[in-house]
Amino acid sequence: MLADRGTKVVLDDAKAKQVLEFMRSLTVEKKLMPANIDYQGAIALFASGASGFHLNGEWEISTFQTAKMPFSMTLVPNVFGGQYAVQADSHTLVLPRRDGQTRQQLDQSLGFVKSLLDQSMTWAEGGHVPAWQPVAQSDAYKKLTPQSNYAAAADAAVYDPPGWFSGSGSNFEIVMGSAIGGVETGQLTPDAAIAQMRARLTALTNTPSPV
Amino acid sequence: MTTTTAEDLATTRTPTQDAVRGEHQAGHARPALLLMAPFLILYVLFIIGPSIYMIVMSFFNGSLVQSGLGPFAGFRNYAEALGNPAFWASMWHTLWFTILTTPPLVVLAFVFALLGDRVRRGRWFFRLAFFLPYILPSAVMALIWMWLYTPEIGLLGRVVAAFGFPEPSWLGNPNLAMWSLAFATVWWTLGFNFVLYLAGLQDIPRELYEAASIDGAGPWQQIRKITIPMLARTTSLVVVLQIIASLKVFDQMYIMTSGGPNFSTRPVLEYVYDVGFTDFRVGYAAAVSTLFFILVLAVSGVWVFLTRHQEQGL
Repeated sequence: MLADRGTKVVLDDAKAKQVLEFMRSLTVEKKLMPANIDYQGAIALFASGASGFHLNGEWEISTFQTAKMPFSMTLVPNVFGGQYAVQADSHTLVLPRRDGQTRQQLDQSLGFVKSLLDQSMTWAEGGHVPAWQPVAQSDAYKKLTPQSNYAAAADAAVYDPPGWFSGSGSNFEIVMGSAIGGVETGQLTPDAAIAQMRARLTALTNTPSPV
Repeated sequence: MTTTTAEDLATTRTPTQDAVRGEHQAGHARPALLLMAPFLILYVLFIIGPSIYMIVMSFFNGSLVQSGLGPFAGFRNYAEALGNPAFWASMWHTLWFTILTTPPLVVLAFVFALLGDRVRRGRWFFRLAFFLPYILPSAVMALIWMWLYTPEIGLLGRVVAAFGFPEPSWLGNPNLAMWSLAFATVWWTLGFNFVLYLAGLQDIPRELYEAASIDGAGPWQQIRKITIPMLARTTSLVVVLQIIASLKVFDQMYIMTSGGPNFSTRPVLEYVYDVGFTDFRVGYAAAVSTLFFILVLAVSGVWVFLTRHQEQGL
């Protein structure tokens, strides 16, 4: 969708249209969810048993566990064929660079990071796929269901295209999400949504990076 | 002359008396300033200072993730905002929300205050009932209404469906979402105007009504000829406070629709938030804030002008 570190829009209109038409058919035609539902509403419908199918991020697992409803989770199927890929993002620990840092201070920082990673099992219980291999390969995690059902998603994870305005919670996701949401509710045609994405993304690629 | 009037004193005042009087006032000025200091310090620190900084920032291409003001941009941020359809759309959403909420929040508050004032028994209950929603935090109010508006299982949808109508998509339809937000906001903030009107009603002397009923004026005539004119100043206060409060809308839209669906309810303050904190473009965000600030200032200016006019008329 973006190229040259977020300075150029390279949206493939034909592919985008195919995806948008499929997503539209799920809600508007097949009514897996009411087309006009919002995020909280979709969760409420599934948690109350009013809908039988829910497509969402793994972080919502605790919501449904708290609601004490019977459910399982699995990978999103490979809808369009070809190489299997899923949109994802991950949590990152950033260590600020400090001049004049001693080896001991660095060890302390890394020790703290390790202590966080050693807690990856707690992290996995919240739905996330652990990146820390001692936990990811452990029997405890493999026995943890439904979380370990979709551990393979991590191997097929594709992040947002790089750019100053992309990533988790970014304007890229707001722009794309608003247009896709418009298609899912039936308010926008796939063509109109693509035109809107292109216009808004172009405005962002033309803005000098503030980062 | 054996009696001394205030007028005599004034005419026979000597220069030394004037000096004494002047000193007296100067003596008051210092404690007055001292007493005001806690407020003034906070006012300068959190209102005046940031406002000036905002205006300065709007002329630079500052970044949230870099220190300093950034490179000088001149009026480029303003030019970009004024030429950006997203800015005008969000500005219109804020204005449209103000247009939708201000008339009902003024008229309904007046009507309910009138009724609440006339109620004989359980008056405290009606006052509390109307004022209670106002003390709810915006997040609580938003959650209540999100549940009411939830498709399929929400109360409002069920009620409409029970009457045999197709259930509207309260927050999901871009043409309806703003009305739904306005409706929830009227329920939420009506209590404030209600209390202002109630206080205004209690200031109207009862004798006026007694005299009017002796003269044969009916209840409707009394409302039109006594209550409404006597409440004119309350009304102008309520109207301007309401317009400013409505223009400052952010919370309920951010929580209930996040400005959606497809940006159809994004107010200008959320636009500022999006470009400032999501895009890190604080210079541009400051320019948009300044433009919005000018709008609110203009509205307040009109009010000052109107109330002066009103006071001269009285």
